[in-house]
Amino acid sequence: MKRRQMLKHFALATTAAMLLPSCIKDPKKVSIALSNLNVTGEEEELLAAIADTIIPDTDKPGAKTVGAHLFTLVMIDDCGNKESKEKYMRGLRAFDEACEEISGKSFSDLSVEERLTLLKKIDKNEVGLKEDVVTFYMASKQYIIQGYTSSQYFLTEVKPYQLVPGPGWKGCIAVSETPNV
Amino acid sequence: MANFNIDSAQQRTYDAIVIGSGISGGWVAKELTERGLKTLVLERGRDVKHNVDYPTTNMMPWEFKHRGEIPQEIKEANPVVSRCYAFREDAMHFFVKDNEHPYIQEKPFDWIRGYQVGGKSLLWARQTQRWSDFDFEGPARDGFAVDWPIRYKDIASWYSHVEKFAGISGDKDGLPELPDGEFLPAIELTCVEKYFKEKLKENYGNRHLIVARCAHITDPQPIHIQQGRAQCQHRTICQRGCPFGGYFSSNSSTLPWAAKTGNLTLRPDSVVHSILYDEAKGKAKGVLVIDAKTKESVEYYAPVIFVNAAALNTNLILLNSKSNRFPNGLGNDNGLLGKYVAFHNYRARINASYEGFLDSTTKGKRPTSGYIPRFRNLHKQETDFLRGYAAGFHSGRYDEQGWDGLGVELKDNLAKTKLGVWHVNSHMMGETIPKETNYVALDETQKDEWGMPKLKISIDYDDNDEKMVKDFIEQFTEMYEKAGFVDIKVSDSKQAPGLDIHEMGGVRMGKDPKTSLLNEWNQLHACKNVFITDGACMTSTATQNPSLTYMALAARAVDYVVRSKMV
Ligand SMILES: Cc1cc2nc3c(=O)[nH]c(=O)nc-3n(C[C@H](O)[C@H](O)[C@H](O)COP(=O)(O)OP(=O)(O)OC[C@H]3O[C@@H](n4cnc5c(N)ncnc54)[C@H](O)[C@@H]3O)c2cc1C
Ligand code: SF4
Repeated sequence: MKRRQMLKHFALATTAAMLLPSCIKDPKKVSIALSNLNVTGEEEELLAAIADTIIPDTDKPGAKTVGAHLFTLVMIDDCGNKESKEKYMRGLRAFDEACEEISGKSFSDLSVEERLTLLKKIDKNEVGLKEDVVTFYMASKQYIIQGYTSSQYFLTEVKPYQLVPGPGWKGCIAVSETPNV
Repeated sequence: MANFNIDSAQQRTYDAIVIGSGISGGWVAKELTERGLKTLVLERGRDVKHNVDYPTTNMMPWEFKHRGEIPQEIKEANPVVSRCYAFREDAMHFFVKDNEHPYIQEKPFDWIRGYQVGGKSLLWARQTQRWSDFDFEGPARDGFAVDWPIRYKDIASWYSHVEKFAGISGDKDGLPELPDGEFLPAIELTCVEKYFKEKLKENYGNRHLIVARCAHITDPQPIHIQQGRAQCQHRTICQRGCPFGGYFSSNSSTLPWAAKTGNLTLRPDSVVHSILYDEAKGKAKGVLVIDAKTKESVEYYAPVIFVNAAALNTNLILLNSKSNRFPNGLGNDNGLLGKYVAFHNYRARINASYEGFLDSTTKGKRPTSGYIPRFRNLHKQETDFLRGYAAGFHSGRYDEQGWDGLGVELKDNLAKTKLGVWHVNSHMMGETIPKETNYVALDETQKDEWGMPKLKISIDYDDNDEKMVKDFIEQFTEMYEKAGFVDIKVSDSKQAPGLDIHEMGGVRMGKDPKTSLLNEWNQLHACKNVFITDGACMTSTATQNPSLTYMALAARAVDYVVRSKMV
């Protein structure tokens, strides 16, 4: 996929999710409007880097390009309860510190491979991390995957969603006749 | 309250008034206007025009900010409606929010409402099964409530009348407990559903699995095309409103049909406060309406009035219609108005897996599922509880592609599809026994914004319901085991009454004015020009999804009005 196309996907994902890009390009500020979460621009970048590690861009867009990290912030902001929001934010803020303890560097200073190796360890629960950090990571992973698999890109090009399937329901057909399997 | 005196009384007089524009009110409006009667439909909610006011109907999944989920703030502010499975981001604008229209729960009751033109007809799950005489004869045979004043033969042709116009798909199954109707082609069962159907026949003989009859146009007939409705395209997002008019709603069907006659006046934002009684003439003369927005009051008059505000609101309006003749509510000479309310018991579910048919699957989506009609206590009493339950039955295979790996590996995996084994699930729809102790009443002190007393609801399960939940779980576990289903999981949600959204009664039909409110034509015994043809009229509940019966009773009552030249 061409970069221009990827940008288009990103733009669509953003407007579709009714996320409001902030007018002024202040690097310290989060790029979308959130009602409760107090997220900084750096924290947003960290989450974007995590998204890009969990589902990277290849020749096709990954989670960051389709805006799955922003979807994650929206969901935590709007759909979590007070307690889970607080926990998530504590985990987000402690993440880089945890990262340094394990690998000696902050997440953003790690190479792409090192990032993946680190997240794999956290994923398999191989490193003793504070509960908040684990909660933050697991919630982020879940929403990043959800955001990615429900993005316009995914639902038009990977597993196309049919708004109007038409009356061709079949109650019993051979598996070999269905796509993707 | 200011008096709205601009129109003359003459201009505010119609041949008939219908209160409520939902499933049942829409039918009354269609039938009255077709017969040439100038009809005023009063609807407390806003207008919702077919196709114009379905803001989410063509939205793609990614266009929903929360991908369907309801934000926490809304959930916390609206615990009751949030418990309804259909209260999601795509259709939440068609539901009443708890704090907009509060009521008093003497016992927990989840009152799910839709206040708009079309009422809950936009939101319903479109399941439409006929009653049989096993249902109409229930109270008399088993000694509860009072005998229904009608039998299946009195309503059969009205079921047909409604089915042909609404468009009902289904099979002719030849079961006396679930009479066949005027069906469009059925929506096929899955391999596992067909298999289970055979197993049930083999193991029990009298337990049947059929395609649930549903209000979807599978093969449009001229009468549907005349309504501007087309074949259902299996989108299965009906609750948003359907641009094809593929399923039946008042908005897509009865109301535009009534409007085309030129005899319909639809007045949204009109809260009916009470029915006005003419003491001299000894009958109802009209209604008092509070404008939902301006709060101004205005009266409308007609020789015939139909109340179709949905069961509990119909009770509220009648209880609030007080006069010298009827100090306890219109038609309430025996003190039974608001009592003997009942509902459907939807508490138990049973899920399982089936490891057969692994080379087969389904394709596309379908707007209905399988249905198992009542088999318990059908021909005779055979258990330690009265009556029985029907059940929904559904099976399918799902993409169980896990979230294995991270990075490129995860990305590749997400793009694949891995079909799991067949999953089956079933939920009970139990008949509950109407009791005097299950009632609604007006609160003595609290009023709402429109000056209506708040409704007090006191409805509960009883021992019969508990036994029925237990029996459903036992019987279905056995039925599942005999079919070789594995990994069986049962649950009892203990959900409050109301969440079934099949609340009925309070203004029951019967033969005797001493023990019922309505006669065999849905006419108040004590005030003959007022008709109740929504769920409030139901003497008992049976197990079938009830709306088809409300529609048939509504059309039948209008025919009676016209035939007996009441207007
Ligand atoms: C999610 C869901 C799934 C369902 N599934 C099924 C199903 O599969 N099969 C089935 O048979 N039933 C189903 N139902 C129930 C079905 O929707 C109702 O039985 C049906 O809508 C009742 O019709 P009605 O005309 O009595 O009431 P409604 O359709 O609710 O209409 C009543 C109307 O009256 C108006 N009103 C109320 N009070 C006043 C007043 N004071 N003045 C003026 N207007 C007033 C309301 O605003 C409303 O528009 C379901 C309901 C829901 C919500
Ligand atoms: S399933 Fe049929 S009726 Fe429902 S939205 Fe789709 S096309 Fe319309």
